[in-house]
Amino acid sequence: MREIFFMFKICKFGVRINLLLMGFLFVGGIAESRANKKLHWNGFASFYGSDSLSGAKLEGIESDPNFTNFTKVGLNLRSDFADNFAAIGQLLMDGGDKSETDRSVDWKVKADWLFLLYEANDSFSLRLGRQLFPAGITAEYQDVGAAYPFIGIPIHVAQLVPLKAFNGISADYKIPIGSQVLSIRALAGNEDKDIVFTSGAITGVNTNKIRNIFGGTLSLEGDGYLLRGEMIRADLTSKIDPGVIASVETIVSGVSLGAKSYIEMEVDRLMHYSLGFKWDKYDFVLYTEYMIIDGQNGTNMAIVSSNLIQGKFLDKAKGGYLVTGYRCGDILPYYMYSKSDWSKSGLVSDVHVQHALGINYQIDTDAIGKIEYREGMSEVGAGFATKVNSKARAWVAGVDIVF
Amino acid sequence: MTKNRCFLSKFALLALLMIITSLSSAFAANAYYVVVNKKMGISKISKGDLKELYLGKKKFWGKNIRVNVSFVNHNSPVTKRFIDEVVNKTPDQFQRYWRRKLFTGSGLPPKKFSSDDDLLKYVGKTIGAIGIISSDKYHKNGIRYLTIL
Repeated sequence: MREIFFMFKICKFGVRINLLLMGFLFVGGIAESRANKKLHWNGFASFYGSDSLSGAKLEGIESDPNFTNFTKVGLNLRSDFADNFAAIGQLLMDGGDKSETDRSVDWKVKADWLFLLYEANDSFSLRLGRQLFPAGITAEYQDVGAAYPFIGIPIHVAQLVPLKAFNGISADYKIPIGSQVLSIRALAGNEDKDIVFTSGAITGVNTNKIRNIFGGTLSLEGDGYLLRGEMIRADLTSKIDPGVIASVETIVSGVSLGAKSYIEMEVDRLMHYSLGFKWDKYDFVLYTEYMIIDGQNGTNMAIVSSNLIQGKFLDKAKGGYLVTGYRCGDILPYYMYSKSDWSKSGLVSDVHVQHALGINYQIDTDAIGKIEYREGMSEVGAGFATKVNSKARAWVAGVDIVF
Repeated sequence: MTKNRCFLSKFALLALLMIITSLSSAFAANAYYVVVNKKMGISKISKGDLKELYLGKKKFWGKNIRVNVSFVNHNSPVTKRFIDEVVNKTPDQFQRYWRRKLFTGSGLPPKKFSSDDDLLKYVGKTIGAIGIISSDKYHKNGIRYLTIL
């Protein structure tokens, strides 16, 4: 058990990845000798090219051909070291972050998530460690392109989910209802990674973290379909720089900074809701999801940024997508519509609409080729400034494999 | 004329018999049998339970023994028939279902073997193991055939 806790420590503090792998192999070795079980590994990769057809940028796709935007390689590791316990993790190397403000290409191998799984019986299980934030149908396998029919959820909708993973605990309880299964999941945790906002940095405000995450998901799964709802609340905390501390001290009575060079304060309370439905049966495919992110209390943030609307950092943003297609043997033509409305959020005033036409081709059991034509329209403005309408067209093509 | 009619009806009957025979032998050739590790102490299983086992919804035998599901690879006619009749999915749907479970850490897909013989060796030595094979003629130590209810 000590080795497992060691692994989680490594994950939490981001120590070098080879130590993590060694930890896994070590546990795998223990498992093999003690319980005649093995370390299981499975990989996935996506190799994509993209190019803007209109010259204008569309969600990070620029006028020059790019081969990094959607390209990634990952390794999924699992060690069953007892009948009820397993350590499961994912290493990921990708060509860019999903947010447009941080599209740096580093190709570093990251420990994406890593948790200890305890399965008490067929109904109840616990996960402890770093796990994916379950906001959306595809959230928990979003990097595995071969697991869903389209290339990916458009960035303007994906950004409605403020974080990808969190450190904490989650409990799952499954109740069979005839041939269907009702799953209830409750979670709690924190995210230590700095959150980058699409609206860009606010002067003097940095190191935004999401704390006190509580919430749950409710899903009903049947033969070929899934209905899923989620509600999660969290606190957004930020560190305020020395430059604005003086004004904070003046305005907020009782704030004592002492020798600190910054002050960490709760600047907003976030509520995240999503409702999704998936159907994949009788050759007909449908994925649809609607999401809302709502800032509940941004009073403190209003002190350090006068740009905010109604004193809130993030008031409300909403959006969703719908994908529909029909399987004709190995070929699946599909259409995707997506829309996000950030017009009521504090710093940005954007409405994005995107249409995409794509073809998914099952090359092999473990390989899927995909090509997509995208057309996006944006109405962008800042504060009360005049809104600017823009259109962009792009193509994305590549292959998803599992191994 | 009557003789001709009689000959034709006999010929049609013979053709029908031949079709039925070939269809039934094709079906028999793709028949599946369920084997389990003998220590599990069970002799029958329902189709519903088999479906839950092969979809990873039922993970334990009794309280604490982990189920280890297996079959001879996806493309074998026996496995295809089992997935179709018991799991009610096409091989592609089955593959996609398990891919999602696997990469979210929710379960391990059935172990695949290249032959009945390899599968039987695995089931015979692994407590909690269950497998689908194409014949009921094997008599190996450590395995038991289950009656499907």
